[in-house]
Amino acid sequence: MSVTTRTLGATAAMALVGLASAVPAHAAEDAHVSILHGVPDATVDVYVNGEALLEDFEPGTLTDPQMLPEGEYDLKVTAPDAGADGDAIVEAMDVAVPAGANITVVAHLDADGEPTLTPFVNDTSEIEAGKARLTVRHTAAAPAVDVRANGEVAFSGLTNPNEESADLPSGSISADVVLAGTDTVALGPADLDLAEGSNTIVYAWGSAEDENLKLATQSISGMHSAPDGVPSGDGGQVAAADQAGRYALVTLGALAAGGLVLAGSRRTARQRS
Amino acid sequence: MSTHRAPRGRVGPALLAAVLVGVVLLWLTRPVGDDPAVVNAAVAGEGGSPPSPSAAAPVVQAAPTPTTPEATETPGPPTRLAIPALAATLPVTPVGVSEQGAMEIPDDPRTAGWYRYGPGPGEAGATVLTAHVDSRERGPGPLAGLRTLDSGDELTVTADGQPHRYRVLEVYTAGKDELDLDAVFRRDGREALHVVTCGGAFDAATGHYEDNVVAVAEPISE
Repeated sequence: MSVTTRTLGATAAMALVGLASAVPAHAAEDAHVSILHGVPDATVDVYVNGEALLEDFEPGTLTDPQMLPEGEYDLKVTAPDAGADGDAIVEAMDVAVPAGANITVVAHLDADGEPTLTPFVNDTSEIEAGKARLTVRHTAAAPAVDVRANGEVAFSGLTNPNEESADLPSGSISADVVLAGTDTVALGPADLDLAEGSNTIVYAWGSAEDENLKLATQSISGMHSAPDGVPSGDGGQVAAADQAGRYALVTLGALAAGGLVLAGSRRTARQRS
Repeated sequence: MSTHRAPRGRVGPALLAAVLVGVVLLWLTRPVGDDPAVVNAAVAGEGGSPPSPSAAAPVVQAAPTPTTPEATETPGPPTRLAIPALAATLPVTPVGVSEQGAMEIPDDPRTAGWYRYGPGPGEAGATVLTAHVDSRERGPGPLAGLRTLDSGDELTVTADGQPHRYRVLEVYTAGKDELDLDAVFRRDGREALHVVTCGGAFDAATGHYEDNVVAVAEPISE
């Protein structure tokens, strides 16, 4: 029932740096890849292309995003210290990582309770000013659920391993997960701070049968945009005063010019006569 | 016949002169915005600034980190804007975005709004403060004088009880369609203060001004 946002330990972080520097750098095109461990009760090692990426990776842990060049990656999750050739708890071959993509790979249970790997593409498109994106992902061994925000169903009938997303007014909400079509709370409520311009991604993970369902959250920021305008005046008095001044100036100028010409021509006429 | 011709002959050129001068004056005094390219470069922090030691130093920007596990420590919201050159002090309240997607602005022109989703004083990017130039009910406010500020005029924003002093670099007028709002509301880059109000002609049909007036100011390093 807790929102888990633990970050990675030093060992695993160093291993990630090692991987990132072992491959050619294309900084502009690199993808952001995060990994979430959502298989209960199993501390694991994670291998990428045969190299140890994460060691002693604990359930509920989300890594910081790593910059990876585009390409295809073989992912393998093993028991701790099983080695690169050890038995796989779960593996995925040729996972495509497109250039510039923002991806979270989740090791989790499928609906039947078997470990699986699911890569989710994180929506980092621009968000309207004042709004926040909420994404919910069903990665738990559990039936279809509804996700409620402040007691109202926001997403209905969500099944493993699918996701739903919506842009909402930013701010705090209280979210919970209920069995689809019921008021039976499976998870939560949890308070979520939906920060403006960011995508808050909530994962339901664990197993309903084993009664260890949990929530994990990930936040991706920087998709903000500017408001549509600054409508900072609705009186018109300042413009009216400007216009009055302007017309006064124009009138005076015109009268003066006309007067001068008239006076000049009178003088000329008098001289002629 | 000839007695009438003479005065008519004099009145004609006089009228012509009056009309000509009137037209020229109308044209000269028409409300006109500044070059949008210049305005947008300035609000984007790309120009208009005299080289200062901090600005001259190469800007090394850390790679943007896409995740923020914890919200970074933010300074308190601005509470006061002082403009000595206009003998004006405006209370400041945090504002967001209206249902129409525009920046919210306090109803009273004597109160300024701070765009609370953007940076505050002391943070990278532009702190945006806005007040109505005037309102139907309450008439003109202090920012009616914003366009008269000169570069070098000082502005003080109080946040967390601390004064943050700024120096006006430029004051611009730009058509609302031409103003680069991403630049006005930028959340990274050089620290700046953008004080925004309305200006130019008033469209009575829509109830809105046609231009925005933007004062771009930079922090005065203590």
